[in-house]
Amino acid sequence: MPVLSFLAEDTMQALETQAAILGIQENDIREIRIEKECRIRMIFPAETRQLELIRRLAHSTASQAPGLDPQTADDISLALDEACTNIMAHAYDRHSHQKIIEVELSISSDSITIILTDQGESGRCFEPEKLRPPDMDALRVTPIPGGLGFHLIRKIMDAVTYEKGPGQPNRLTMKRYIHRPG
Amino acid sequence: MLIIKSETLNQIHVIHLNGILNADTSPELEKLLRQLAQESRPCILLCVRDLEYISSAGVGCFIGAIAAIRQKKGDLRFSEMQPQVRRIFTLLDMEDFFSHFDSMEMGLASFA
Repeated sequence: MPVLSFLAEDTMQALETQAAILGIQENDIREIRIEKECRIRMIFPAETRQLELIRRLAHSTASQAPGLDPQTADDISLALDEACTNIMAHAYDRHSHQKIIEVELSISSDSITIILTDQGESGRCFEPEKLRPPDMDALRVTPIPGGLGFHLIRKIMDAVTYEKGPGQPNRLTMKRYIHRPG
Repeated sequence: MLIIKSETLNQIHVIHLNGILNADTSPELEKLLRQLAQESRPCILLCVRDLEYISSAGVGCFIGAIAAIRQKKGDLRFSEMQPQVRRIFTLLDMEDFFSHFDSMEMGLASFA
């Protein structure tokens, strides 16, 4: 019995061959779509020296998403860097020795979702809905660094939610659609 | 990893950055810029041709130093900024915050 295989270079040619083997009219099949879905989980110490490795891993994983352009993969890995940096600096208050960050990155046919989880006490005070975009005109007059990371995340990602609660980890969920609406 | 090389040409501090500028590597550059900002009329040209990546922590280095530098009638400018680095300034709506030039020579000449 021949084994069905769609690993050939030309999917439609493979379909034709396999349909002939099975005696199926090729035009009976309405649609064939190869979908790649994957999910990776990374758990790492909340130390800045990890940032570049995590960013590179996220970039190479995001690049696997069908239809995702290289600049969007760059942007998504930047958003992850910014989110991890914020956890280290704010949620863990720079006291990140022996603390961990958990990152789950999943790719579906239409979006990339990143979920970051941390146990930082200071993260309980974070209220992103109250955070206003930085005032660039004011920044020109009085340049004060800081506050740009979350602004970048909001610009890059299409949906950002933050959950926290007593006895529960802080969880930041960021989603970016592969084809942005509008 | 970030490699920082600095030299002085015609009283202009030229800083060459090679590698990654993020929250891990920015403190070293921040320290250098803070030190240079102490001088009278500090003129700094950052040559970023070999800068592969920058996060907001890296941009924060420049923002943190610029007030003191401009107060002393100096400036901090960029040359040979690569598209992936320019991208973050675009995302932050900060494209015109710092002057940038296509070549190091043009950057140096801009201080004349």
